[in-house]
Amino acid sequence: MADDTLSPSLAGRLVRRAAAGAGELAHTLRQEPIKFAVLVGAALLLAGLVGWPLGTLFWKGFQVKGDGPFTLTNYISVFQEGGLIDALENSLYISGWTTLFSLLIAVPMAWAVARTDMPLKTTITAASAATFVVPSFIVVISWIFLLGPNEGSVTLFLESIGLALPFRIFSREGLIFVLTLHLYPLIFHTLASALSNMDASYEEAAGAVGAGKLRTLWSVTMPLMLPALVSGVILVFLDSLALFGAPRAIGLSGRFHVLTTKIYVLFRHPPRFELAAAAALPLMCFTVVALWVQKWLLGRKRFTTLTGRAAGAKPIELGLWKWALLAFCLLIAFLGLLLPVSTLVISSFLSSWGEPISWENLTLESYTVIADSPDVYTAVSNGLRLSFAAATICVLLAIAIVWMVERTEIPGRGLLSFLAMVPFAFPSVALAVGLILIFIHPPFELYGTLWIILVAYTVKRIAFAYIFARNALKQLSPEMEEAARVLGAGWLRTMGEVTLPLLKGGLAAAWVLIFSICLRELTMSILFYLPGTETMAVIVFNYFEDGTFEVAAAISVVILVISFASVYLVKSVIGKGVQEV
Amino acid sequence: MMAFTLRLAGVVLLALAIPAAGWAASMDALHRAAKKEGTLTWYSNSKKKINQKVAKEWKKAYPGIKLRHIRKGTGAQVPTIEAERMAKRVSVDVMNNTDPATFLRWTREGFLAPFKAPNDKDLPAEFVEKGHHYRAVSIYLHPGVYNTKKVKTSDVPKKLSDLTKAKYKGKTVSATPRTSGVEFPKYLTAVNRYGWDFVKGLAKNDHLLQKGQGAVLRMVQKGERPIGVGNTTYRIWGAMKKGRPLKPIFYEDGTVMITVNLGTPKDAPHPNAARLLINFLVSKKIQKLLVKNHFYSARKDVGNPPLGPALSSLKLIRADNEQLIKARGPFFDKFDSFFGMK
Repeated sequence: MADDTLSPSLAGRLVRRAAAGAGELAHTLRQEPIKFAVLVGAALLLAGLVGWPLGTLFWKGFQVKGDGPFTLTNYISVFQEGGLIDALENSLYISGWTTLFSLLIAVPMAWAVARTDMPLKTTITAASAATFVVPSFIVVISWIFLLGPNEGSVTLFLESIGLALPFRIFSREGLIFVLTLHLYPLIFHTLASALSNMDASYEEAAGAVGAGKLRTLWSVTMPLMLPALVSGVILVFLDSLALFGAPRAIGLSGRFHVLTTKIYVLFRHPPRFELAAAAALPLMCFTVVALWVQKWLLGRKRFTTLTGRAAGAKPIELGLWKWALLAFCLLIAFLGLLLPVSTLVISSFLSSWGEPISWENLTLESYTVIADSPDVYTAVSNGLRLSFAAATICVLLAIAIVWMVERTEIPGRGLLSFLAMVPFAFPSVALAVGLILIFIHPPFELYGTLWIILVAYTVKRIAFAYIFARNALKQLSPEMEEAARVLGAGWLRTMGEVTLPLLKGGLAAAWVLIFSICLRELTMSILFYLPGTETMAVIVFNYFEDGTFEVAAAISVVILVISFASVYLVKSVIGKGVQEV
Repeated sequence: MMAFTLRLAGVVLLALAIPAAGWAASMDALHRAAKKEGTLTWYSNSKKKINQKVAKEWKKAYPGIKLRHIRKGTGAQVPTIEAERMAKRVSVDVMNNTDPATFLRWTREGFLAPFKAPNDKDLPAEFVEKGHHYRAVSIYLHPGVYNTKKVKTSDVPKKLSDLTKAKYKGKTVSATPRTSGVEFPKYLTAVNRYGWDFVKGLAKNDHLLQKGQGAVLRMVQKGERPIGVGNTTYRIWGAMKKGRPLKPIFYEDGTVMITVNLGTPKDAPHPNAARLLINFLVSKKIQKLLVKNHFYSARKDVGNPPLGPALSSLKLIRADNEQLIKARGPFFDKFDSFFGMK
């Protein structure tokens, strides 16, 4: 009986909402053709870049050998593959703990940097951003040689003072350790950016009625930061599920599979691409669940902390506690950046890597090799151009999509959210295959050019921009945009003069993160590159695989310096906003 | 369409020219047709430096034909080519990699073009596929390797089977056969000789698995695992030449030999230039260049690598390609199961 009454009401609601959305769309087309063109154009672009290749790959999953009659065999055989459940369990265990530890590290760091009088805030922020730039396979190798059970430098040092590591690097716990230090910046930047945008008067009001600093943090600041926290958690959870390089290096030695390494098996000898989409299904389900959890947690609550009425936030004075907090932040920066990067820098100056450090073993030869290699210049130029373009496109596209999702009733917004988020957890190798299937043929014959790498970077990283932009827009009171519209400003002008300047902090944070991650992207670049389209990570990888670890380390150091310089340049151009990055 | 017609005409002309005028004339015709194509793409698993040296020689020999050489290890190369095949548009003209079974599969699937390269006649028959779909561009040996500073000469294992002894517990490393093209033949031949007890023994001995040959050599060089169960000779000798404390172990019970095969797809975009490059790569001049850079050649007239013993002085083991294809899946699953990886 209940069903009989609910169904028509649900159906009616859906029909009414769809009709309202369609009406809104028709109204926009008539009244504001530019707005209509921007929004519809963005939606079509997202559907073309993400939906088309992934849809094609999925369709291949329903065909015999990717080209025959319709079948469900591929999906059935993937789920009958031995060890898939174990791999899934390992993935959840590792991602769960990585997310928890990242949260424990990032929350105090973000709060300290954005809201307190702790010293060296810029250094901590820069260290956290730099953690992201070094190619991850190099970071993992550095950790293996630092924590290796037989000859690891840290292991030997600890042994010399009678201590031992609490875990083996070649284990699930070892992987959690490496991933936490690699991924915590995702929560840190998401949260720091939102905290910096927050109207300080909420905290001041709490202080005025006698709430202590911790109580204010717990009962005022954190609840308002829920969207940013949830987004950061989703980013770390999904990214740790989707990562392949580190789990491959550590998991193989530690004798365990995760979902991505299990999927990789399907790409080998002979590659069975038609199974790829099927095998990636659990990862896509996690994306859907994450989006649903986000919606359920945040619901229709208001998180507007950016009302235009706030004055600049006054840093919270911590007294002596600021030194304890600084020590914690410096320890994380040391572990996350300094230790692996110093291994890199030292290696780049060695003539024979693996040998003890001595004057005889020190040289500048690796840097001479770089200076004499024209392909390094090409790779640097390609890397910078591609990363700049991808970060910019991601941010612009995300603004339009997020605005549509948050500020309109247009039907299909949930699908747009899904399309923006799904490539994030989708294995890069499978994504690359989907892109090849589409962009090797006219009319968009991009394969073999830099354009396909640009598309790949954009598709894979649009989720970052989407999440940052969505958080920022959730913080922004719609009244401010409405006020501009009442005063006669058009949609485009309101966006340009009111919305975007107020979202600058979050968008700049997203831009810098995407830029940094693209600079070191390898999995897809290595499949796509041809002469003239090499990127920096590809060059590093080739030197690395050719046995010249010293030169690979030297190029990594150069990438790091370039990334810093680029971020600094962007910061000085954009000004405030990137300050928080 | 125009380009396709020209390409087709070139191949047809060439086919007509070969029986009539002999190899020299046919090579001239091939060169002319290749010149019209103007360019070609070569995926090679070799080091970039080697590819660059070859490209330099190619430029001298065929100035009008641009060679786009891309270093793609077997792990990245095979999926790239398979993705192109699935999209029904191949962009590679010539490829060589360390997976002989894949070349055999490609031949059976009709993916490779037969081409009787003039220089094929200088290769022993065992290194040229019967229908001339592929041939060996170089030979890899896969001996063991050890760190001379961490392992005493008296402790160096003599036989492959020694590695399962307790004295080597926690000291050995190798690439996994699942991801390393050259590792599978080694483990397959080892299991053929010693049964699965060999793998079981390694697993019990805390043997460490890595993804590829480069990673194994780094572990040995660093001393984290001082003995590599196997590694390619060109890597070992290349590192030794740079002064690294490494030495190969040519096991008494045999050293595995792997061919690096070379072929062209039948739908290659530049079929004439592709054939010209194949013939060029197995020429005496280029084979000598490869030998100088620590690779063995299948040719008998180019000598041995600078640090390498004559192949005839070694006990060599070669895996059967049929077995490599058939045993692959179940072998990997069983291998993984001993290492606790389902």
